[in-house]
Order: sequence, then structure tokens, then C-alpha cells
Amino acid sequence: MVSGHVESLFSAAYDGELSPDARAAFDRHLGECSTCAAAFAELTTAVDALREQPTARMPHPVRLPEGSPGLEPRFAHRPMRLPRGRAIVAGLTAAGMVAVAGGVTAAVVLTRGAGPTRTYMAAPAVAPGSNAGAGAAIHAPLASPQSASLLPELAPLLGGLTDCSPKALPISKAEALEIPVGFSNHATEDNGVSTGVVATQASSFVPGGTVDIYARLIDDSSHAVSLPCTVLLGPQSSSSSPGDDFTMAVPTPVAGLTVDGQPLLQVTVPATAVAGQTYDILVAPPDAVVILTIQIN
Amino acid sequence: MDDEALLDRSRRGDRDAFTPLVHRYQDELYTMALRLTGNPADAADVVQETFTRAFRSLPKLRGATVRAWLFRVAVNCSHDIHRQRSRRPADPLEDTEGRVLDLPDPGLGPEATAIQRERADAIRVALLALPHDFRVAVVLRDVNQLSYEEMAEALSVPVGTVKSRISRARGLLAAALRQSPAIFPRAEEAW
Repeated sequence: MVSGHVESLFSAAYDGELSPDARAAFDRHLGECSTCAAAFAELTTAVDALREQPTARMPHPVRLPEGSPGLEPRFAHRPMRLPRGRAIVAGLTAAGMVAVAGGVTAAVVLTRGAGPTRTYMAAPAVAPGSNAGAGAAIHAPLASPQSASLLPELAPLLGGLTDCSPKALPISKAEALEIPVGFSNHATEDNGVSTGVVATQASSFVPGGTVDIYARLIDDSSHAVSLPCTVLLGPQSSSSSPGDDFTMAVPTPVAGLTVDGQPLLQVTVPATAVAGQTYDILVAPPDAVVILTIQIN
Repeated sequence: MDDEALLDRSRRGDRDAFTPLVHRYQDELYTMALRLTGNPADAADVVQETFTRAFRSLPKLRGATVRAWLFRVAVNCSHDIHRQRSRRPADPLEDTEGRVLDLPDPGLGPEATAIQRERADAIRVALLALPHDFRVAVVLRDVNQLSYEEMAEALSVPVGTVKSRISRARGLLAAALRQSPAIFPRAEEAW
């Protein structure tokens, strides 16, 4: 039984999705209603015209990344466009990481296939357990229990982060992707599973300076937004021979520091940082998708 | 070898198993990206980026078919690239107004080629006028001919939402093409 006009059935009718009875009623209506008949004919002509367009051919061969598929899934991305201040994102491989057990020295090397190597090293030791509080430095808690939720290769170095879990935020994906005004140093990456956004108000900071961080992680499936765990890691060294020390600091929410009512993170640049060094802000495992570099002045 | 077998081998680090997936889907994804972005260079970048992301994210693929997953990644890439490129250099396959100049079918005469181009151009303009979600819906359905279920997987929305978006998108497409003589010759006669 069809009453009134039937535009709402046009698409299903075009796809042959109506039941035999519904289709018969639909066709009867078109026979009696010239308005619907003309409109359905118009829709059919338009969709047919789209469908008849030929398949286009990819104009050049696809270049696959070096290495084997899937070995660098978490950090590895080829940024499509890198605005100033955005890091070349490197993949983390087990083979590329060295942790020196038995002391407070450690180094981590991030590599992407045969590409650039990223090494963090050379920061004076801080007493173990000093990671309490916002922005406190952490030295790799070597051989600490690993959390299954952490990136396996980083877990031994991130024991201080095991209490950090992403905090769900009641905002939309579009709102999360909107970089706050003034956060000119920013990076956004989507690995097809999740999208990470990290931004700071400047690209250079002084030792002991405070860094406000906008960080958001979006699940590509559910579009759920969370405040991710992040780490400040550095200094980055141009040396490719690991073995020295590096510093990690954990940015944390601070009362009253918000954007659109949602929390920002804050971290203090280590006082031991030296002008000319660079540090990286990483969205923490297991969904690390962004690295943002800051320069020390 | 079917997609799932290739995927399984790729997950185990077999690079040679990933290449057939590229060959199998690159043209389909390129066509989708071309209809979504209206720009050949952007579309090629979408395909390149899609396979780069897919290559690296394979271990995370759970529960989706390869095809639907690739389309999902490609739709995300199309959106990202389209958003990033408010300005871009002119492409050799575009004219000064940014219209895509499809390469002519050598089997067609000059008049038929001209008509084909007019129709392609009308459709390109009409598609680009659609809101993003509706453009994606009608392209996945009527260009790539994904099933409702594949679209639901690719877009992470319920099948009911897929159907309503397709319905709305087709209505908008028909309205956008209504005055196009290339699609509706009677519109020209009405003048």
C-alpha cells in the first residue's frame, strides 16, 4: 500500500531492495502519479550516468615502504605534508632499540627501515622514583614489569607510565581535530586505526620552561576521543651510537588548564636541557601515532 | 589466492604477498579517490598513502574484510588530503578552471569524445557540490559498487545509516544534475 509520494523508496527501488509486494505497490503508484514517475526517472538517469563512468587507472606504480609489512605499525608513518615543526615520524623496531640494564643509563633508537635514526641520550642522572608529579623526569626504570598494554619495545623504559590510561573526552572527532588557536607547532597523523593530534604553542622552549600540550587520540572506528598518555623524550642526538642516558617526562593535566572546557597537558622541560638540543613529545603507547619535536633555546 | 590468504601471509612479514593486493585494488581505489577529490594528483596521493598506511597497519586489521578496510583507509586519506590542500599547483590533466580532462577513449570519434567529456565534467561538478558524507556514500555505492554491509564496515556506521545516506545522496546528485544538458538533453531543449 503506497500513499502520498514515494521519494523515500526511490533509492531502495533503484537497488532492487523492495520486496515483491512493495515493488508492485511502488510501480502502481508511479503509474498513477506523474510527479513521482518523473522524479524516479530523473534519479535513475542521474545514478546511471554516474555508474557508467569508466574505471580510472592509477597513473603510476604504488611505492611500498621498505621492509616487511606490518613490522612498524605503531610509530611508522610517512607524513603526507610536514609543516614546520613537525617531526619526521620514525618507526620503532625492537632491533633498533638498545637498553643498557643495571643502571640509570639507557638509550633508545627509533628507526624507519633504512631511513633516519633517532637516538635519545646524554642527560644527567636523576634519583630513581623522582617521577612523581607533573612533568617530573623519569629515568628508564629498567627491567621493570612490563604492561601488556604498552608497546612491547618501549615497555621496559616506560614503567613510570603504567598508571597512565587514556581518559575519554566528551567531544566529537571534529572538535578534537581542531587545533586550538595559538598552538602553532602541531602534528596530526592517522594510521588507519587511530588518529593522533599533538600541538604546542611554540616550537622552542628554555630549560626548565613549561610546555602546554594539546593532545587528542581518536579511534577511527568509533570516533571516540580520549586524552592520551604522552611522554616528553629527549634529548635527541644526532649520534647513531646509543649507550648514554636520556630523560623522559610525563605531561599531566593541570587544574584550570583547559581548552573549550577540556584538559590540556603540561610538562616542564628538564632543567638539564641544553640550548640546541631537541626533545620529542610522543603520544604514548599502545597507540603512538605522532611525534612532535621541540627545540631547546 | 584470495584476499584473506594474502593478508595472512602479509601479516607474517611476506612482502611479496602484499603486492597482489596493491595490484588488485589500486585502480578501484584511484577511481574512488578521483570521484571524491576531483583531482588526479590528489587521487594518486590518496592511493599511495592508503597502501603505505595499510602496509604498516596490517597487524591491527581485525574483523573487517580487506576490501572494506582499504576503502575505509582511503576515505580517511581522501578527507585528509582534500583538507590539507587548499592550494596546489596546477595539474597537467586539468584545465585552468581545475576541471579534470579525462583522457579520451581512442575508440570514440571526436563528437562522442566531446559528449563523454561533458558528461564526466557534469558529474564531477555535481559530486564535488555534495556534502562530504553524502559524496562518499554515493561514490562507494554507485562508483565502486560496495554492498551496504561493506559500506557499513568501511564507514563504521550502521547499515541503516548507509542506506539513508545513499538515498539522500542520490536525491542531491539528481537535483545537481537536473540542469545539465549533458545528462538531461531535454533540459537544453527547455531553454
